[in-house]
Amino acid sequence: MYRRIWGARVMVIGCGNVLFGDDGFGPAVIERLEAEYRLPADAVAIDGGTAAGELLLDALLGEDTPETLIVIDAMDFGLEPGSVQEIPIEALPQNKRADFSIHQFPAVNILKELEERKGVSLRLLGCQIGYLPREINPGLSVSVARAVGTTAKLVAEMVRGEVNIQNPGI
Amino acid sequence: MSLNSVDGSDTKPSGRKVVIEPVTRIEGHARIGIQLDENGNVSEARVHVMSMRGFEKFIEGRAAEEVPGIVTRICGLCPWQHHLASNKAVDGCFGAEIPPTARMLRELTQLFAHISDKVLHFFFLAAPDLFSGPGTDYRVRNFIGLAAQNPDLVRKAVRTRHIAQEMTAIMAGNAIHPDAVVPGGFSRPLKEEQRRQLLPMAQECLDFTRFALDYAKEKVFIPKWSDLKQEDSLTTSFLGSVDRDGGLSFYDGKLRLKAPGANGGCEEFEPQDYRDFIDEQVVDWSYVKFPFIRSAGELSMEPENLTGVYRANSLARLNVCSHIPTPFAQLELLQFRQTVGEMPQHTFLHHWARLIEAVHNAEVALELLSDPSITDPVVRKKVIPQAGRGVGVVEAPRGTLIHDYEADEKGFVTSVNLIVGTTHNSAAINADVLKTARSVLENGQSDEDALNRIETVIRAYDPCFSCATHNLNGTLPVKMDICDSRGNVIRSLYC
Repeated sequence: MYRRIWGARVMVIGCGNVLFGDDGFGPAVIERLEAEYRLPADAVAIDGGTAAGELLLDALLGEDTPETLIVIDAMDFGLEPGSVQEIPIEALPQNKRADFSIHQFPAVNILKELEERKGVSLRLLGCQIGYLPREINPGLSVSVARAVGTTAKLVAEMVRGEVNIQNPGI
Repeated sequence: MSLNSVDGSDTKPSGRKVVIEPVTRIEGHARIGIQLDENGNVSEARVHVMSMRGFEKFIEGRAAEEVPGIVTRICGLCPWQHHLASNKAVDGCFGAEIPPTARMLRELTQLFAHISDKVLHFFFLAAPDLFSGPGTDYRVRNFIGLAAQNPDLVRKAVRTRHIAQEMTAIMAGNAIHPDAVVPGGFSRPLKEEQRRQLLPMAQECLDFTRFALDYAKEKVFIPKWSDLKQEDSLTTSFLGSVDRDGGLSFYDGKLRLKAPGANGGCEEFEPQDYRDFIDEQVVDWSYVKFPFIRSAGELSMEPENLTGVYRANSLARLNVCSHIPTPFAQLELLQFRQTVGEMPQHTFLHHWARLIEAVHNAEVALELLSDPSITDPVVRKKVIPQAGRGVGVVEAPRGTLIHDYEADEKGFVTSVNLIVGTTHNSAAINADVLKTARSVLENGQSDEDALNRIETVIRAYDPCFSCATHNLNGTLPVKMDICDSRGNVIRSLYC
């Protein structure tokens, strides 16, 4: 399993804790992606849960770094709940940039290092949260749940696009 | 009376407050509040941890066998240990006896997960501090800087980390959300070709951990210890698991609570009896509970008058065990004790202990993989849900992990109590931060170096919240607000 991950040229990571409301958006997209789409052989989709930071650290340290990394995460931009946007890393909110931990995602500094040192093409998809409980309470809010299907479709297209870029003859 | 209430609002009317606050998300984070008195000296320091709240309540009412699959979502760093302890607790509820080979497979995976974590922690989180020192330019005080200085060492560490992760994934099914352990045993037998695949990988882990320990002793542990041993350190009891002969154990055995001092008292008990020896206290300024030694009668976190405080984690495990039941690690333990004495207390020694444990983990892994019976196909026994209580205890990287469940006659969970490694250490972390803050923040002066000293103390515990880790670009992962006596922020630092 672990080697299969690192052999992939396009890696999709869904981040977040499914036990905390809309924070489970990333894993929900991965689940939908796996259920309804067939990704190219050299692409892999991973439910990173709360361990995405570790995965990214291993990607940074290892030799089999993917050429493209697509990260899906719940975020708080102050938009309408369920709004999904592709965002440049520089646009991440201050609190995201200050976060450094491998205990949880996002590890923005690791992402930056992946981009700068490893030449990884980064695509970040953020979904505006609607409901983030203070105590464990699984399940997405209606607005965010509605965004899961469209985001999975978008990611599947992104993956195919990235593979085509990497393999223009195919 | 408290520095901060649970919701973080300042309740102290006088003096100034220094707040170190990483802004993080919901899996758990910490904020350090340091209260200065009118003279600018530290009067109180508290580590406010936003832990995984509501988990115990969430589990109640669920089928017990579902729980080991849910607990892997608690934490991104220790999913395996939660999965394992939870299954052991369910075994206990249902009165399950697991086959001998299942026990071997569980222990083997536990060892792989520990090796992976220890290599990650030592080389990529702690080593930049240890090899560079607090005064080093923050731009190179990280593992990228370490790699530039020691490319071969870091390359080997990366390789070992990847091997350990791969071994964990082979056994656990999924390193992030493992599913291999089931009530009554293990979900699948180990194939002979897998055993042959894993053997050289475990050998490589042993070779590297021995090399790394020698290297760290020469470059860091022994040279630094000659200075650090002069420092006044926190003095607490320790908790850890030991086997039936008193040897270091990571999978099962008894729990041992050992008091400070070479001839300190020792309480040894079965895991299910932990409540007779460990009490829990709740405070109004933290969501984390504070376990303490029941026989002490009370908990005091004042560094000069510690009462009931104990620690878990690598140093604790080495302090409570009588010996290590593998040859290389036992030799290392003897040298460790010869150098630093019996029952050492200094937090710096967590790092040394961690690498000795890594050697032991690799040694036991090799022993298990060399035993042909590990491929026996009988790895699971049928279990029947029934009423009962089960206490699952394993050693997690950050200390003893306790899952305590009660189930009704249909096997539904009726009550849950969890004590995770970081929770055991919560009183000690607070006391240590206060002690360090008093020594580095004199007259209200705070700079990056002082804050880094406090951070380094916290990281030595490897706690399961954001402060445990190190910013990749070396900057301090904290925000510091200095407030005047009215609570107004007069200075903010993003260090």
